[in-house]
Amino acid sequence: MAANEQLHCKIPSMSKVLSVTQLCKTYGEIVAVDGISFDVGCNEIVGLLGPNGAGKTTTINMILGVLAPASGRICIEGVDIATHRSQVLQRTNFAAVYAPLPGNLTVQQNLRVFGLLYGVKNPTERIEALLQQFDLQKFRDVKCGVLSSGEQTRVSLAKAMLNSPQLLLLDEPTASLDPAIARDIRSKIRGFAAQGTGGVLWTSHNMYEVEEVCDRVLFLSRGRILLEGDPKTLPREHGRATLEELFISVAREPLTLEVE
Amino acid sequence: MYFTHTAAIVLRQFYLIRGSLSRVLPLFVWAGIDIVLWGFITKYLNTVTPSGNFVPSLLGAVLLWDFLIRVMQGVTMTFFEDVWSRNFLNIFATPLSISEYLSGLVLSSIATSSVGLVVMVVLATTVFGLSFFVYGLMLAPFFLVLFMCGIALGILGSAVVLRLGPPAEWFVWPIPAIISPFVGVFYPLSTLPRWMRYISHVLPPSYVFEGMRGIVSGNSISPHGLLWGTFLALLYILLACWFFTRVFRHAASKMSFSLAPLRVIRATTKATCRCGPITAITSSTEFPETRDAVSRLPTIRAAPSSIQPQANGW
Repeated sequence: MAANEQLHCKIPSMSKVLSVTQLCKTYGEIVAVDGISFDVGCNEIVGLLGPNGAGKTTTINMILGVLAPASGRICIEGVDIATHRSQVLQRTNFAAVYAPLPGNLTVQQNLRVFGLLYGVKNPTERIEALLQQFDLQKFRDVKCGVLSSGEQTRVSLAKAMLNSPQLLLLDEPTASLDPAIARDIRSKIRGFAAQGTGGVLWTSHNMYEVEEVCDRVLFLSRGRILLEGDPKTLPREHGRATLEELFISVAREPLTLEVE
Repeated sequence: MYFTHTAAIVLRQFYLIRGSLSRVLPLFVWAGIDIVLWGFITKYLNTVTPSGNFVPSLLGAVLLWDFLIRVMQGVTMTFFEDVWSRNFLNIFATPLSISEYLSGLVLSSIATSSVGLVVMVVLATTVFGLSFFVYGLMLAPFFLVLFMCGIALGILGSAVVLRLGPPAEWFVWPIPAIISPFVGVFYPLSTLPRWMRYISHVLPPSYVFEGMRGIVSGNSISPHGLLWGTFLALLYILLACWFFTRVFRHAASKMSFSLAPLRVIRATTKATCRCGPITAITSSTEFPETRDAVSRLPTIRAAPSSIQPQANGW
């Protein structure tokens, strides 16, 4: 098992962008993440689903290198984040509703600062392209703190795309967007996954969105992955009509599903 | 270590200062006021003590001490900008390393403290006749020791806030005031009782102010003392960096960044029926007082499983 785990990271698999192996996180006696393993492939969008407190954000924070796991391994493009943090994070980025960019800087200033942090080449051109892509030109010189939550989300997504990441982590990226903009953002992210060689790990509570966007979903409950599969077929496989029903079942009665 | 990462921290601080008068003025206003105040005090003392010239010893000491404070505040203010804007998750999820971040704080401090220093020097020399030629070449090591000590105190203060949270700012601001009686800014260390002098010996600025007074009074100064002060200042920088790194790693392992925003992670309410209770998966916040207040609301029942203190993003 240990040898397998080592190989898991040492052989850079071109088809895997992210490999998580036996990841655990505990806070005292509370087990937040309980030995989960999963992969995200190239051009794949994987949905990480689960009720509040299931361990989704803890998992994402560990993948981002801002939270140390109790045990387990995280490899991005075959490189272990524990030993090559900077190198790995150069190729990773994220957007989360709870991590807006500093409100006392303008949109352009924020993108410039993060462009330097991510070592973006030709930052001026890249920022211009992103401002256009996310329809942010008119907010270029507006401080992020005075933008609406939907506009702030678009700025966060523009920041997340700055370094053209190989692994994009999105924690409820469309939570505060109106349906029209949310659809637009979903299509942009689908385009991102389809065009390059990157992968996306996406959390959302909008099951219709997950079904539309994700190639594969992982149901997380109490720190463990209970189910995994295609969001279009998974509900039927477990005797539920929709993904939302399945989600509710996982949230309310995870043990029943574990037995299944 | 990538210079662009460090430059990003400096650039961020430049953007903030450039766009805000309330950030520009503190760079030099208080330092300038100190010089003006102490400049007139020294002038007055010169008139009542005709044989003495207090300008180089007293006003010079104020200038040097204010320089140390500006350097320390340059570091802490840059750090506090991340605290106030709740930017830690964004910034530490980038390839930025701790050493690059600390270097960014130091470079920002060099820039901001230089502004205060220039204003103080201009006021002290042009208005009150302070001449730096009195100190000669020793001025360079004086500034160097005070600069290094200010950096060490700034990093230490930042680590304290990282560990204890934003309210701990109030432990940081008084640090210079607390150590000033021990380093003898305005009086020789021989004035102090023995126990205070023991503490003075391990504080690098003590050697600067003793040396400064020695030069002004025409006595030779001990180069060993100043070398020892330089060594101590360097040691304290290393210790402060080590402490900051320890605190950072502790926070990363426990997710106990009490700097976390007062954020609502998720608030899902579900009205069951008119007569039944409203069940709410309460908003999880890192601020216990807010969480407690929420749990006390009569119509809201806290769902313990939804509350993960210290388990979510900063």
